[in-house]
Amino acid sequence: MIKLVLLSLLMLPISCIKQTGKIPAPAAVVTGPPEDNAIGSGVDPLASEAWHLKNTGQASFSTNIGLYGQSVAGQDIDIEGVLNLGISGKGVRIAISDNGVQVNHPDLQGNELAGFHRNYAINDPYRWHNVDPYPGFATVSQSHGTSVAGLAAAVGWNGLGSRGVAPHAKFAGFQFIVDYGSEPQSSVLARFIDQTDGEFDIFNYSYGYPQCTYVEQDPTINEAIESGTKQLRNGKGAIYIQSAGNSYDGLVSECSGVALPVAYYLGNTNFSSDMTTPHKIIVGAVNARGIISSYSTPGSGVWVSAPGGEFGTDSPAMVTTDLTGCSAGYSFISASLNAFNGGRIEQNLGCNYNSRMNGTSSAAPVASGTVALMLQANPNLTWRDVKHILAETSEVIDNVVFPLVLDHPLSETLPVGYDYDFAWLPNATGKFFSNIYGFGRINALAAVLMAQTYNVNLGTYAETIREDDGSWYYSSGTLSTEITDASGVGIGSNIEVRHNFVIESVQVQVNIDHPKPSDLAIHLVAPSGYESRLILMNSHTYAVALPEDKQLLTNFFYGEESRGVWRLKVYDGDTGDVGTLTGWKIKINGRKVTPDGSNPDPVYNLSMAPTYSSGRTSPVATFIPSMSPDLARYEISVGTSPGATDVSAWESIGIASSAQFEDLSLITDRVYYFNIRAVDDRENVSVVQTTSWITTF
Amino acid sequence: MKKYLIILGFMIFSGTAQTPVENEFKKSVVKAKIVEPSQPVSVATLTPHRMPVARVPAQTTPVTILPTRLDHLVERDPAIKSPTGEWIATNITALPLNTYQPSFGKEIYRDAYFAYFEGKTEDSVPVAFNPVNQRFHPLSHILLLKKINEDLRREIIDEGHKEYYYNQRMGLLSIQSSSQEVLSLYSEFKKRGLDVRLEVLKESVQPR
Repeated sequence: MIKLVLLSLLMLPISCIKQTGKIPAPAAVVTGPPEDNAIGSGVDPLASEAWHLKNTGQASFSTNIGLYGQSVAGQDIDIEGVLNLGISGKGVRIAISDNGVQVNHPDLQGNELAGFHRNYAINDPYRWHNVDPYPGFATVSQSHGTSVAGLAAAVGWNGLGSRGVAPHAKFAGFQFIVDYGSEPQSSVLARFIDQTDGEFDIFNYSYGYPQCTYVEQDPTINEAIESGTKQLRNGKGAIYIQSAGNSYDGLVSECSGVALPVAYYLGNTNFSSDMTTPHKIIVGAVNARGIISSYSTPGSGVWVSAPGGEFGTDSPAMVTTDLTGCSAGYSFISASLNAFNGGRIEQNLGCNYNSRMNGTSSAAPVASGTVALMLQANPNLTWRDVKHILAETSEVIDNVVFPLVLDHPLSETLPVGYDYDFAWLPNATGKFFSNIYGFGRINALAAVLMAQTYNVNLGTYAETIREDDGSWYYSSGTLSTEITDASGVGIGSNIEVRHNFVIESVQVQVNIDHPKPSDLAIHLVAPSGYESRLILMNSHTYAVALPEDKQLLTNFFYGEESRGVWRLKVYDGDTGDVGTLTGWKIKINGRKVTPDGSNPDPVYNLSMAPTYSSGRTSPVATFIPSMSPDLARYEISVGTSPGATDVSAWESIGIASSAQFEDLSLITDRVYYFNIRAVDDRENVSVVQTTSWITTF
Repeated sequence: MKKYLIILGFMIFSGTAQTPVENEFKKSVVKAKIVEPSQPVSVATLTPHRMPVARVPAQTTPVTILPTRLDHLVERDPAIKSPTGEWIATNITALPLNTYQPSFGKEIYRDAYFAYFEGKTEDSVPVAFNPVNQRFHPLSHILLLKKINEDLRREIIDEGHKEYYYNQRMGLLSIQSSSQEVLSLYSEFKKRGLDVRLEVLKESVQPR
């Protein structure tokens, strides 16, 4: 099914479009790949069809006449210069967690991690861990993982096929996705935890839940992912990469389990709880024309986008490895599509490759391969460093005019004054973000160059949670705010956040009683006044209720500061059903603005007592207390310079509006400095206030 | 400032800024520094450009199809809930399609594998109901316990419970029960103050 998406490229002359410039490719440090990496004859005969590596406008075995995905030279991930740097993913280990990988495929075998593969797709649910050197590929439907693996790490320069984005990265194949529909969460959880045993750097998840309705996954599984970001790679954290989904729109009947009249829903990454964790990198798909792939699911949880192509018919899909032989795999399924997939031309006589792989399933391994290149360039990068580099270096694409309003994809008329979404918007730091592209299409060379010289200290990761039980700190409490029906004005609710973090992501949990939650749009406005759309209006989601404590993620505010009033706005885009906002919570993830935090407010009007009769031993200072409601105590010190503690170290005085030292032994006629700071109940420390006095006698 | 932003934004996006191509990498870094509006962007004042999308599939008009409501048929104990928000039905159980017979009770719902009916039999399994999409799912006979250390694990196993899975690092212990006993065992663990969770057999992830 070919779908029509952003028509911006059709509506405006091509001269209006910012051409994708390229970083000058570094001079090759060797001829071809580094000598110690070289495998075989040095030729990958199908690499010239891999438009995502180097887009020359090639057809990649499609007719390339498609209106939406026709190949445009330069619309790729800019990888040529990376290889010239001698970087090809060497030493990096990728787990391809999918529906199995044919690890003995001639173009994959050279990079397989023998002994590390897993086969979880077994009918006995108690056997959750079965090391299998050749994870299952018995059915034609199981070529997915083989094609995914090839995009990330097919062997390069071996005289066969194409090559992966990271042609010298190693991979293990996990048959993770099961066919039998339902299984205990413990089995899923066990598999997630089991994967952490292989010392992998990157986990590629080209799968997810249906996005036609809201799907809640046991939060323990996200906790397992979070654990991997804390403990793997010697504490630097594994990189978890997941495809955003192929539900830009889809048929509601996909979700109902029963036949329904033709009706469409609009997917969103925030519909699935597994994509509302900041510990993953969610990847959307772009096509060979350099715009969103017609199927790619939008959402404020998308981090970046990467090539995923279209369908390989009249627009290029992805050329990659396939189950070997002409009786299995995508080539078998699509043998009639063209001579390439049918094994009727010299380039693919054995049907070991296909040209129809697509989806955000393809975008994820392109991103995984790129991250492998980054980790070879700088193995010390943490999971947050990787996200930071991708956010900083990914390219803003499909940028014709600004701001570009996106109309409702089903051409619905929305309430007066309401805009469905925008192609791109800046946040308060000037960084542009898109619900479609995240921070943009990954640029491998820019990412690797930044990785090589990386010197950013992101500081300690912090979240606005209570340390004792992990609960979220900020809540609206119980509300009963009726949501105005069919209105472009909507309703809002405020929460004041006192933690001052540099934001890396923001999560909210909302509780809304509404019999038709697909009417709703949910926005979040930061203290800066900038606004992110977390749920888009009139999604036609197959649901009659929003899940309790529905969790949503936005990356829009990356780099902003968190302190101040946040506002949740809720709109209802259709008539006939009325709902109520009953509460919401917010969690900020990032790092403290300063190493010791800048919360709470400092005291002010600090002064010494007018008489210094006791100034040598028991000086008294008065001040107006901090206004912070979460104040825990004040601490005072004395030094010979402002803020110094060389005379008396910091001591708690509890909560008082004056302070007095005892038993100091100060020298007459010397200037001393009295220091005071406020500490809140999360041990955040205010700016220090200082006043001086002279010990006159 | 807003005018400044408009002009600058247009220059960046339209490609009229004469930035040399070879500086693309630097430009992407500098870009964030250039556009630093000191005031919140009011998109309304930026004269948004509306994209004339004709994206609607020709054969359809926008329509919302909602699940048939079944929640009024479900009796539940509000004290028992799955970690993913499903209700635990007290008046409905399920049997595989090939074993269910109408005489067992009135059928409420069926999916590809199970029939869900009022009442219960010796072999029927307890049922979870998802109020979001009004679908029923069988309840797993496995219980997940969190914050379990080695000592507690040993204590639980010594009581005769069958271990399904244990991970020391995460402090997770899964216990195999039976469909007939899983709810009572859940209540027993709950009474002991353990962090115990029911598991619902529902949709798996799919390739994308």
